[in-house]
Amino acid sequence: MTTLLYAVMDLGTSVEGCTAPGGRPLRIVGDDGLGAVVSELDGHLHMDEPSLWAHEHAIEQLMDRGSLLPARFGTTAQDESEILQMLRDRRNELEAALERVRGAVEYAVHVDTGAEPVGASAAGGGTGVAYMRGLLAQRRHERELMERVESQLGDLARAVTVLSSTSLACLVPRERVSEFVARAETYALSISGPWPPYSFVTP
Amino acid sequence: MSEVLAPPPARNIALIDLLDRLLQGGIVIQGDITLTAADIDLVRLDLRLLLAAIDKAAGQ
Repeated sequence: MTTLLYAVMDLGTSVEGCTAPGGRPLRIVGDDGLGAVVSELDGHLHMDEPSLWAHEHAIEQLMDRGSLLPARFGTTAQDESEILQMLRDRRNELEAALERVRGAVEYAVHVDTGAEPVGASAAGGGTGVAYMRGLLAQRRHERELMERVESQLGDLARAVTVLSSTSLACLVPRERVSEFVARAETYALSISGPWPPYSFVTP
Repeated sequence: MSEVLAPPPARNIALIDLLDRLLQGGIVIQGDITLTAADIDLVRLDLRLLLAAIDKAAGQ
């Protein structure tokens, strides 16, 4: 039996009625205001699609109860005391991170670069130089698009982080969510969310 | 994110967003990532992404 971590939240948050995949109750442990939401885990986690969504939905229940720092999937500890020790050791870092995301949710934004795969265009020329030129042009194109997205949505986000050459994450205060979604639609940007702030747990 | 049953390709985009977040984002406890690689059946969706996440997890 191990302890599975779901999120870090204010210790005063009520998680009554929130359940882990499989129906086990989630509980909050901690001290001095900082809490960790955990459940016991029999055996091991399965990394298949239903299990990942089930884990996500457990964290989404908690989002309705208060601001949180979601844990990465599969973050386990030997027992509750190890979780409490982690909270003590990293109190300053976790409290600061929780303040940064307080009252906000994450949205994923995808940029359609419309670019041909580099390999395909290089196959004709066949030289390394042609390949590198193609790659550079593609990177430049992606960077320009990314800058454009930041200029289109950035003012509605508390923070923006680049996840890949074609996707970024925006931390959006809840009161700005409807405006954010409408704006994304205006610019025909593909978005998903609201997500727990997975991409904003570190500075 | 609740569009679990959204049709492709929206569903695939949502799944990749999920993988980006659950496997690469979020807080971790140093040294403790417990996953069962034998159960992986996500390879058909984005092998590169998944492998990157596993590499990252294994390195911690």
